This record gives sequence, C-alpha cells and structure tokens, in this order.
Amino acid sequence: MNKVLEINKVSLGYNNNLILKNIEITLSKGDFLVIHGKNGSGKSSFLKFLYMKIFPISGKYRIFGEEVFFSNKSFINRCRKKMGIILQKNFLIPYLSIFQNVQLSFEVQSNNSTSNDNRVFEILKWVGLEKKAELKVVNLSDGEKQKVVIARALVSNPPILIADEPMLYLDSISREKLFFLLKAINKLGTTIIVADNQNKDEYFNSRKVNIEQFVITK
Amino acid sequence: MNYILNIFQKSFLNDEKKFLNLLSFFLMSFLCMHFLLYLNFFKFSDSWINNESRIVTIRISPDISEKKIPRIKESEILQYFEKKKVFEYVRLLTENDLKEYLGLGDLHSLSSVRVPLFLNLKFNNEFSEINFENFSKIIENRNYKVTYHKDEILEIQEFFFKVKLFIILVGFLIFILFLFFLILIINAALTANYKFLEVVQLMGADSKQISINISIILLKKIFLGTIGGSFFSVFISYSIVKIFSIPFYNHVDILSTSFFELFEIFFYLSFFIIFSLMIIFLLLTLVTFKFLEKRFFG
Repeated sequence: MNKVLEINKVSLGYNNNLILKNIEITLSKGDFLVIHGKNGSGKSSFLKFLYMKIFPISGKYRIFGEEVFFSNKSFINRCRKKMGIILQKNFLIPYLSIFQNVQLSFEVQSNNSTSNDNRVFEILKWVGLEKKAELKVVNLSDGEKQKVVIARALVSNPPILIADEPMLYLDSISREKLFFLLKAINKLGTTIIVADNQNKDEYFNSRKVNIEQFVITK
Repeated sequence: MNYILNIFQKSFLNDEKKFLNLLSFFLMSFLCMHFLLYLNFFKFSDSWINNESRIVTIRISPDISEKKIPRIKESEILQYFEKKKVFEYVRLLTENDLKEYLGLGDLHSLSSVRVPLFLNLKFNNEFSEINFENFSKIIENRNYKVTYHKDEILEIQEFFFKVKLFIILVGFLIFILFLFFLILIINAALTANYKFLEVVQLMGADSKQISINISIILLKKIFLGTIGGSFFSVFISYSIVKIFSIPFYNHVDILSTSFFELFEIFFYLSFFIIFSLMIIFLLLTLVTFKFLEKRFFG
C-alpha cells in the first residue's frame, strides 16, 4: 500500500497551549477518513495541520514518504499543490464566473502556464455545472457554490482532498449528491479526509476517527 | 501565473485607479521637478565654478607721482600677458567698468582718485600659476597684487553645496512620502483581499510570485500618472526658469537647446523615472512578500 500521509505522535496547540496530543494516523492511497467530534474539539485545527497552515508542537509528519519540515516553505508549497482543500467558509471570487474560479486553481496547482479549458469543463460536467460555467458565482445557490468549491479543489487532480465540514449549509439532497461525488473521487484513488461534527450514516463504510480521543482534558 | 495576474488586475485597487494616477501625477511632478531643478543647478553651479576658478584679477597701483597708469604702460602690460598664450582673454577693466562694479554709476568721473589698473585674465583650460618673469621690469617700481578667484570662491562653493543638498533632501522627502502612501494603499488592498490571497496560498502559490504580480499591477496603475507628471514637471520647470529669469544653466530651454542637449535631458529624466519606479517596485514587492510570509502559517 502506498502511504500518503503518516502522522506520528503529533501534538497540536496554539501559543504552547496543547489542544490535541499524540495523534497517530496513517493514510494510504484511496483511503476515506472521516474525522468527527463536537464543535471546538479541534477538527479544523487538525485539518489546518494537515494542509500545513499550523505547525505541530511535537511529532513527525510525512507526506508521500517525505518528512515535512515547517521551515522549508518551498517544500510545503509543493505539497499544497498536491492537495485539494475545501474550507468551512470557502472563498470564491464573486465577480468571476464559475469557469474562471475553477481555472484559477488549475493554473496555480498544475504548474502549467497554458490554461487547459477541457479539464476545467470536464470537472464542471462532473459536478453538474457545465451549463452554468459562464455564470458569475454571486448568482449561485449555496449548494452550487459548494460544488464549485469541490470542482476547484479537484480540477488539478490532487492525490489528497481535505474537506472541513463540506456538508455544512447544504440541504439533504445536495448532501447526498455531494457525498456521492466524494465517494466517486475516492474510488478513483484520491485520498479523502473529511471533518464533520457528527458521525453521520452517510459515511457508513468509511474509516472514522473521533478527534476527541486526542483532546487534552483539563 | 498570467491568469492570476489578470485576476489581480481586476480585483486589486480597481476603484482606486483614478486616485492612484492623480497621486502619482502630483508626487512624481514634484519629484521630477526637483530632479530637473537639481540638474539645472548642478550644471549651472558646475559651469560657474569652473568658469570663475580660471579667472585671475591683477591690480597694479599707480606710482606716487601718478593719478593713473599711463596708456602706453597699459598697452605694454596687456601685451605682456597676451604673449603668454595661456589665457582665453586678457581684459582691462575701464573706469566705467569700475564705477559700475562699485555702484558709482552717477559719478561724473574718478579724476580726483588715484585709480589702480585692474586686469582680468582667464586661463584657457585648467588653472595654473602665472609666471611673472620680467613683469617687474615692465611695471617698474609700481606695486601689484594678484588675486586668484579660485581661492575666493570657497564660500560660494559651500553655498552651492548647501543648495544642492537642500534640493536633494526635499526631493528625498517627497519620494518617501510617495512610498509611504503607496505602502499604505497596498497594505489596505492586501488586507481587504486577504481571504482570496489565503486561498491562493493554500493552493500552493509562491509568495514571491504573488508579490511580484501585485507590485507589477500597482506600477501599471501609477504609470500613466507618472508619465503625465514627468511631462508636466518639464513644462513647469521650464516656466519657472523663464518667468523668474533664474540664471540657471539654460538646460530646460527647449527652444534654444541643441538636439543632443535635449536628448540628454530626456535621458537623465527617463533614467531617473525608471530608477524611481524600480525602487518603488522593489519596496512594494518586499512589503507584499513580508505580508504574505507573515501569514503563511496560521
């Protein structure tokens, strides 16, 4: 099995105040990991650590077999290019069209100076937004915006997808569709890490980790 | 990164474009005007000092029995210096020259005063000592005193230096003010667009590349004002020189300068503008880079 992420005895915190301790998780290619836990239990902090926005107090973190040194920013940038990231309040550029928002991510992450319109259309078709490609983001519903965010995260075909509560603000139908999308991507070999505040049934056959087991109790 | 550049172009400081052009127009006008005035003053003071330091004044006092030196003797003295061929000119200061110089233009004559003979000599090229061999034979028992202007202009040189320093300091102050405004504007724009920048950073975009792109955009937005300001400053400095008849080296007088001199002005001015823009570019890139790197981690 190809190890994608290896987290070894990692402790996280802010200003030396420990939040999570001794996290040990290993993820291989095609894994679907759901991290659940109550609000404020540290799920988002853990995801921030995964996409290297915060660095650990102790422990080791390896991506594709290479150890992450938080002083090496060019390495971090290279790793981030291999990640699709969906944040809780994801930022889309309102005055740009759906197509342009997705193309932006493709241009940054693919290291390709020439834009590949076909790939952008392909991913938009996949999330069911190909007919609305020229619409400005400001005119979309929350569910559609979330699909744009997913398309943007996946357009460069990253091997890892990190999503922080992607189902938030979505109705049950959109959630079902989104979950189906994530599963389909996962089957294609993308390693997915999703944070959710509930242990939902939708994730019935996924690997689950309750973040609360790492929480420091005072 | 061309696509990001286009997005930045649309999103960054788009509403402030007119303000930025106006700001750069005024501040660059001031800056270029200072540069042109400095250039003029530099040329003027340089040529004035060079000119003056080559001049020597010789005062020959008449004999006790004379009211003034006889004309025949004046001619002999003139010939003595003219023969040396190291002087551009040998000029005898007439009675009228002296009256004018002393502010005694209303006086009818200086007949009651023992007037010395004054000679102004100007060296051809570089200053050198005058060889007064056999001079005493010509002037006989009359006294003479030689004044090298080079020794007398030290104070003026100091004054010129102070004026140049003043122009540079005021120009530097305006430039700092311009930079300060630009940094404030870029900081506000970065803060307003931070969420977008954070997303781009999370995608793996290089801070250096983003900083360069943002600086290029800001430079593009002030470019028109800068060019306009530089032309305006040429016009204004030309007018100042003309209207106030400033005895500067006639360097911005476009009508009376040769093509080469005109080219020289524009070469220096263009070089100055490019140099200023480069400093602005480097500083803005540095500020933006620092802003992004500070937020690279949460």
